Amino acid sequence: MTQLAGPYIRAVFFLPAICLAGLRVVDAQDARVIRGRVLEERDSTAVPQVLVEVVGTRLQTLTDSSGRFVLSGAPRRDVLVTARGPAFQPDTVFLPSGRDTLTFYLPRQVVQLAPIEVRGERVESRVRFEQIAQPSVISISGEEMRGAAPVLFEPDVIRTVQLLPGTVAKNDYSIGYNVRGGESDQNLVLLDGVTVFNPSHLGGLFSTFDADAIGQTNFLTGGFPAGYSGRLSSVLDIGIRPGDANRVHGSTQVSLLSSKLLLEGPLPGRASWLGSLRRTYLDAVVSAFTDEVLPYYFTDGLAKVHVPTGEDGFVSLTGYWGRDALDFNLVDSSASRDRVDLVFNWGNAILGLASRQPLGTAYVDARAAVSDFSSTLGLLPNLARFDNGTRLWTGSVALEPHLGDRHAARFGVGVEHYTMRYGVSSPALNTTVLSARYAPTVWSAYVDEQWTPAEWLKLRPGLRVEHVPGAKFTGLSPRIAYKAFLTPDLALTGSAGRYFQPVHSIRDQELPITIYEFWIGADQYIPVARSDHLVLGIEGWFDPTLQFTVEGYRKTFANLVTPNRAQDLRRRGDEFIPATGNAWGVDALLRRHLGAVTGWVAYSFTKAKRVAEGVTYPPAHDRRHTLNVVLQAPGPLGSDLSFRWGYGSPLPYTGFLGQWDHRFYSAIEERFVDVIEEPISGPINGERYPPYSRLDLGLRWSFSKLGATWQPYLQAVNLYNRRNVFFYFFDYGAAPPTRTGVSQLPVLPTFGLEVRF
Amino acid sequence: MSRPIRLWPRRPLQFPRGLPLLSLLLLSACELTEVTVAPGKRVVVVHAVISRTALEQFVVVEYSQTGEALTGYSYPRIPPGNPRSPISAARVTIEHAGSSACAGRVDTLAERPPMDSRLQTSGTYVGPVCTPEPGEQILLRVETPAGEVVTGGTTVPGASRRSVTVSGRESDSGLPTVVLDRERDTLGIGVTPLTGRALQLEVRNAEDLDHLAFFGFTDTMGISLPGNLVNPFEGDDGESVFRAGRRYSLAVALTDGNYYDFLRSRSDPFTGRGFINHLTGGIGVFGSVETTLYSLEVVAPVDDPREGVYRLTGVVDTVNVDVALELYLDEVQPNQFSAFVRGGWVDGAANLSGDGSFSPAGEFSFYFGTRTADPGVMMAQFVLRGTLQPGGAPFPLELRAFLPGLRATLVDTLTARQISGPGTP
Repeated sequence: MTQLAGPYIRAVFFLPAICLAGLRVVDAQDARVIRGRVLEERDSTAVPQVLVEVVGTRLQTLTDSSGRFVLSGAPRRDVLVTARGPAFQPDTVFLPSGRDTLTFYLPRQVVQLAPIEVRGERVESRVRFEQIAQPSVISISGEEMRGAAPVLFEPDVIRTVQLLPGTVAKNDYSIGYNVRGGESDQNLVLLDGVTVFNPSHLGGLFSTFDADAIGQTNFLTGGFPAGYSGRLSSVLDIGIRPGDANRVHGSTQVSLLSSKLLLEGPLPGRASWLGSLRRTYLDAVVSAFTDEVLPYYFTDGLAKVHVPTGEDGFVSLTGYWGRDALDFNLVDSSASRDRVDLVFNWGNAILGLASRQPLGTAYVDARAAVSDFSSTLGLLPNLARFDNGTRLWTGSVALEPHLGDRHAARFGVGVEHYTMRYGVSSPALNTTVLSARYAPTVWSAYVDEQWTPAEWLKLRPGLRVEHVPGAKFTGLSPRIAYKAFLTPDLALTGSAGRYFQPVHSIRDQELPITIYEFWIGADQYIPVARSDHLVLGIEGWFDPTLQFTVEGYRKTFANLVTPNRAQDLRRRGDEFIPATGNAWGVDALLRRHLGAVTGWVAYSFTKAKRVAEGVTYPPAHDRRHTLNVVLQAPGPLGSDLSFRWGYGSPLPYTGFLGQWDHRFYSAIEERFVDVIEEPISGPINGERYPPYSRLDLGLRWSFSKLGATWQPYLQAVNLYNRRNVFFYFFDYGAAPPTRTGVSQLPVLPTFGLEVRF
Repeated sequence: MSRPIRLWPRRPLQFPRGLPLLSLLLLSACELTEVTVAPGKRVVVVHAVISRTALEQFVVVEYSQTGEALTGYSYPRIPPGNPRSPISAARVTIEHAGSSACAGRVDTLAERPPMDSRLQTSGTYVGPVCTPEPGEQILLRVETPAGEVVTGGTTVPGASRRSVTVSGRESDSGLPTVVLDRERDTLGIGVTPLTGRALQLEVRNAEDLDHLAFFGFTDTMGISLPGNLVNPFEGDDGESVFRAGRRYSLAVALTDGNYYDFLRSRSDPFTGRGFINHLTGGIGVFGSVETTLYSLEVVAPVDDPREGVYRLTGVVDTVNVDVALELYLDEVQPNQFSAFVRGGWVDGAANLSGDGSFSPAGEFSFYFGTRTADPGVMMAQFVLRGTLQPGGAPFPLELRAFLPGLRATLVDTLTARQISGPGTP
């Protein structure tokens, strides 16, 4: 939507009249200077290099780097002014004779849009290639995420990450992902620098974070620098963009099962705010139209306040709250009976404060945050309950001194205090089944320095030290990365480092179904896990927008924990069985950043192994080959098309060799009185499922109406309805023995509407 | 659009009655085509729980299921039933390894005849075993004709003190019957073990042992059950665990660690792992328990005119009948009731309970049975029908009796009269 300094009238129907007036020479007394600015509609960022012209004249100019333009010698009469630029939809505005200023707000053309922030004519990834010695990193913008691949209901950062090289999603419902042979609890997810413990809603079908609020996301799959720690396999660093500091606007989306609203706007002093709210409404729909009750819903909200300070600093506050709830009443209360509700809810809440301030020629970054995850499952209020809570308090300070052109250093210290609690009890039966608490504190300090000894060589050494008093642990993590340019467009890359992880998930990582992770902390009984990485690769650019990377890696794992099912609940120290392992592989990426067709092709080869209790086995995510083709291109009927085809070679599972009757003993009758069948398992993960493949397609249209941009979309996942195996069932009680199973998502069309205003 | 008026309580959405949208959301996965797989690998399965109070001990020995064609049926109640793949002619021994009076003794169990006539074997090995002392270790050894050997060991539990309290009041020691007012009382169970790992608590309808009212286990050696406990997963709006007017059998079993692990662990249906097996050479359990049995009678305040005590008299098949029916309405389903039956009955002295229901017109039906010493065999079943007359006025009751040995149903009439309760003057 384009606004003038004052009221205006849409100019389209005036165009013929003005054109019929013809061109005429403007003399000096009739001339004026038209000044203005061109901004991007979504977030009011300045758009340079946009052609602005007065219709019917030869008067035209380009906007400068701040999006401003000046048209001198414009006629002193009513005119039409047009702005058009690459990757933006053109706009024409009626400028009456009494007005000399105007501002254009141009919407992007979605497919042809550069999904990566452009600096001049270079994409951000190219800038990083030239300037930073850091392999194994992929950047995704919120815009790219929205158009990257068709998803079930709405764009999702986790779903997008699962399509990148080095990443395995075990099934369509998996909320987690496995990176380069690591377990899903080895991935650190940061939202504006704050750890998020369980970033998903039910079954991974809904995204945790509003993709419209995401600015830039960096996904590091290995060799991460010394400033990152706490996980062994990857870092997903999600940045929420600041709100629009110029005007209030927003967007809303309505899909099959949920709706959301995002608003943003300015605050005094160049500050801005952004807020997003979302809720599923299937439960309300069911209640309105039937007498049934659908007891599930989720709701979440995200907010950010960004306050620039001085010339070059800022303070920002980011908050997120989300809750999934599956609650329904089983027994109504009466005079002599308590109410009983089946309650299952879980969710995250985070609050983070960040500050970056200049200090002479240096910068000081300070952060403080709290992150909470909690869940409750039970027959409430008194019959039975399981409570789980994980909370992290964290604070850090980092100094970035200016050390000249060839050095970029960062020194930091930090502290993290975790509290994890688990309780299983029955107040009605006056019994506590389980009560456990973990409270590790992690003190850390690091130095991370990038040194450019020569134009063709960048080195990035680093060192991190971590101390976990409760686990009597102090660890040194040396890190090193390098980038050696063979040509300006081709570089050899590599990294090596040691990584520690003081928190673990006790969820059985071999299970195909996950709702969320159950976190515990290192203490005198539970070790700090360790992994060593070695990465060697090559990165190159065929042209300014076509990138390729190939990386080989090897990782070792030590002090991993697997749940000990035979643990004695009275004792501490036998809850887990230690495990070790390793993984190696090759990741390749070919990515087009700009153009009519954008997207990427990602291939991974992985081989992973685990050893526990003397048994060697492949972990459940040991997928040998993974291929994802993700494309955005012009589609039929004026649409923007998004396409994804994925292939995965067989994943391991534990086959069954039979079944036995587990008999139940009655102490009253002193005999066995009941029976259930239980499987007899074969070697751990000794079998393989069939290969996986899936084709997803999406079409999105865009048009302007009533001062807003309307984007209806149509999507379909698993277009050829392949029955990818989710898990198998075996029946050895019949002759012959048989196997059935459940497949993953079938062909599933969805549709929705997004409106930007 | 106005919301529809609801005339009945909301129910949770029940699959697969769920809406198409819900199906899309969570039920969109399809079932895969069934395929035949290779036969499995045979494993010896042994179930044995040594009870210090049992006259005989038994061990069930069977093979796992591998997809081979089998005849016969897997009976859940063993003994006298049998497993589907029993192992016959196995040598089953129990050795006492402790220092008690049984030390060094080896008891050999013999295979009992099968109940299922289609089978030649039962796979159930029974016999008297020297009663072990608490803390004594006993060892099991099973050798199959095929040469498979399964061994296990258990340390027998024992308690120095057991207590059953009702709202904190200790039940009179020596009396086997505990009276629980479901509206006011909390049943407390406590054990002080000499050795033992966990408690198993089991409550069944004394007249119908198939009806399990409550089952639980804990390693805290104590548990409390409020009288108004409701099982939320039964019935439309839950079901009372303790129903007034019913007799229950209550077993408090102190268990060893093997049996406790057998209770608390299951194999995961996805990974096949999770069951804690303490046998060597096979799968199953060799554990031990020490059980104390109680009889539990549940009462409640009476406030409905139909509740109270009725006296039934008459002559049935030349037998003088004079019983008291102590009737209580069910708290959750007021058209249902239970009642204690005490006195002289058709087949002897009766001290039991039964269940009944009222029709909207006020007619009632009441059912109960009498049993032999074998808890699984009903001797006779009785049905009483009539229309209650509160206020003490006599009214007729039709009796239908199904007696073993009689080909026809015995039908007779008794006279009933309410003698206490809110309905009496």
